[in-house]
Amino acid sequence: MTRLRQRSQGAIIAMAAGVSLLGLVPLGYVAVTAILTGAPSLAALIFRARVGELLANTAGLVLITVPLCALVGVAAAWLVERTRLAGFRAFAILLVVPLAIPAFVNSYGWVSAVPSLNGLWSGVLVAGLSYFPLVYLPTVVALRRLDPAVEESARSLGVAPLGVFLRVVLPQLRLPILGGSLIIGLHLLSEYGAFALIRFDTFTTAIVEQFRSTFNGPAANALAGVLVLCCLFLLVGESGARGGARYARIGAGSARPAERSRLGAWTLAAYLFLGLLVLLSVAVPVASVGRWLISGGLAAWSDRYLFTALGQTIGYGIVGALVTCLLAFPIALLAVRFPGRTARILESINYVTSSLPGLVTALAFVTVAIRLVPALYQSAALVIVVYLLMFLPRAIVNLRSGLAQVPPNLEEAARSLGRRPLVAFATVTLRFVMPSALAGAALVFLGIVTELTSTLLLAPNGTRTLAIQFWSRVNDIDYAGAAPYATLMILLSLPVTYLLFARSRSEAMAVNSL
Amino acid sequence: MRGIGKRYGPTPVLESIDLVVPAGSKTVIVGSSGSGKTTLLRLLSGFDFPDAGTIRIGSEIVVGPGVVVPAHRRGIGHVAQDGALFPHLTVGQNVAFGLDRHDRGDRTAIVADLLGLVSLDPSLASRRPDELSGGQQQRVALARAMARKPGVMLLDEPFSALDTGLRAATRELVAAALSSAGVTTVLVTHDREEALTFGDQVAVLRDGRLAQVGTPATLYSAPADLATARFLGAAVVFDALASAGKVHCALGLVALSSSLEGACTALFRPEQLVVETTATGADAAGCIARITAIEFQGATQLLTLELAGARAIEVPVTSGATYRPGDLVVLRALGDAVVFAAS
Repeated sequence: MTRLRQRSQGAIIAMAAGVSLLGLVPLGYVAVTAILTGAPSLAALIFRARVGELLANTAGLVLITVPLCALVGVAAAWLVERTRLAGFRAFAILLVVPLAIPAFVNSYGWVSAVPSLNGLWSGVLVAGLSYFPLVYLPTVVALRRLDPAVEESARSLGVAPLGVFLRVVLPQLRLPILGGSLIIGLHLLSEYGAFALIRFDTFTTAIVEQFRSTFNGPAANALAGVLVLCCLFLLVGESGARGGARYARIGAGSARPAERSRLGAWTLAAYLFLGLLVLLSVAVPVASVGRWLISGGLAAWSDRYLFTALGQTIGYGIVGALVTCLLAFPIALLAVRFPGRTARILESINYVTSSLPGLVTALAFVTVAIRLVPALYQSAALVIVVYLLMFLPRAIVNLRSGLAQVPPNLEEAARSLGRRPLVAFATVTLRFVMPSALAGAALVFLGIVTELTSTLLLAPNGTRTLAIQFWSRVNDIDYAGAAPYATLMILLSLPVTYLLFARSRSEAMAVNSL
Repeated sequence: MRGIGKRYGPTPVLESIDLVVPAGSKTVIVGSSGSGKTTLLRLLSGFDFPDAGTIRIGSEIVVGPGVVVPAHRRGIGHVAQDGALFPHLTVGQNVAFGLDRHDRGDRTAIVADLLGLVSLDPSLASRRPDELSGGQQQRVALARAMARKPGVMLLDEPFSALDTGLRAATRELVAAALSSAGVTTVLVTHDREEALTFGDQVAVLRDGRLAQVGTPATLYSAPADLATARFLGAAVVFDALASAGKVHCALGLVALSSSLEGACTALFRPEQLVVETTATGADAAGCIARITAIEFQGATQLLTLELAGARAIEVPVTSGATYRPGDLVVLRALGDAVVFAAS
């Protein structure tokens, strides 16, 4: 029995380690190129006015957008979850819709509506409107989980409602706010399309430009190194701010939902705020896409690549989601069934890797492929590997929570009824995990459908995904021709976004895996 | 409280509740789950508002026609079922939460005093709430509420989540702390032992109405109706006929304390019933019964007795005496029977 357990644990660790080893490639690539370039040339590449300018732009973007998103996300979550605004259910759904609109499509919508957009503040506007749901959604989930008795205690201790919010509610929301802010920060660092469209230069846009002009020069690599440092800085900063905080709900508590407050004179202001938010984040991009659809007419839909692109996108999405879920399985299983140092290390490698911009991961694999396995260069397999590393945590998080809900003694019961271990696992555990696996797969699918940057760098010649076709139309200033592609991407993303919303209601999905 | 009514949708939860809680006393509101007792407490603390009636604290009306004082201005302490400590603060910060700003200087000393009041070590102040046991959390919650020196303290089933042994000890400690501070206390519970031991006054709430209000002893010995009687303790009940200050039931002729006449229900507490061997012989105030089953319970043993003309009854006796199933015994009642008119 014990030997069997050890053997299966060994096999699981081997599989998990294989995936995680792959995950070390991007960081390894950054480190190795830094060493090969040598300190003097590296310094010459990094300490230039241009890099300083990019750093200022990127830092400004992150420092303004993240707090703004946190503020807007928390305010919206509170209004939807804790007040008696009529129509709060409709707002609850509308406020997650921006997640279905890729940031570069949102940017395209905004540039169409306001062609003069450019620079830092435009970047803040567009990115903020795309990403605030990443704070909003986890905050809603957390608000729903808070024990209302704790807030009542504060009131009976003589604290007015505003004080209760600031001193009791807000501190308990620290983890979802920090987690959401971190993800927004990472998105800001890695987004290319949205900022390129409004001519706002960040590290990522500069690296892509560099890569296009000099292919794989040391300048792009040096910039990538700085970008990776920025990411690691955010990761460390967030985990530092998180500290040892673990706000376990003490005691059993009741499942009683919290009281919703009346806004009184503030009702109008609340409607204005929510209405404006939905208008800017959903209505503007959707209306722009609609306007281009109308002006493009049927001709735009007869684009001969449209259905090729749809097919290729769905193909990449499905294969990528399947591969990712399959390879996430050993890691999730290890974390649930054999928790410990090994499991933690293997898991966190994947989190760090996926936090790196897809651009850096793509650059790393382009280089590795050219140097070591030329056959893989410009192959669909390489694209899938990069997708895998980018989106692995989405699958791991969901599989893990699914596996954790399967009582191991069910599997033991099946074995005591004469099933062999593997059969017992397949017939009992796998069936239970299926819903979480599908949710994870759907999220990976969503990521792949809307992934632009790394696909641009990696895809074999002739690849036409929706994102790539959209981008090439936009670059040819054929905005009407791009509209059908934008529409299809939004339509493909909507069901998954709804799934995310629905599962956040049942608290089953870790929203933070986006 | 006068004429308090509250409904959720079409269902009335509380109807015309009148209750006076004397200053400095301890009142227990007891009822089974769904009786509306927690709702009543929430109306008092201001977390919820009645549809009808007036609540007055001292001379101030806190809820009434055109008046609603919000929870944070009522000066009422509230201890929730599981303590509801702030999970993001330490024990000390929890206790100091309600202190005024000008108390800031000697905060540590005040917190230590308050923790002492509920018999907790001041060194606990730096701990996190989730590092404490349930009983300790409950006492921290009380200390936190006491920090504001409230005139009224509301306790919502504060001991129900604790283990049996811990429950009694924590209850005594809390009662002592509240008495020494002279705080008017209202405790809500579904536990009859808690109801009878904690308060000076007990109010029985059933289906949203107050069934009876009085001292614990009165309620136990002179319950207003059969349901209240059964709720407050074990009861042995016979069909009976009352006439001229005596009641005739399966036990024979027993004195009664009311002037009821005619068909009725006679109620005895099990400790009123005495079991004797047949050697003493039956008389007017006793009857012959047959033991059909014996359950050993430690200090006592529970006899199931069969009587002529009545359902089988259960009577506890000390473990010392030896009985066997099938033995005949004499069953006698001590004290008066409580009777209710037959429905």
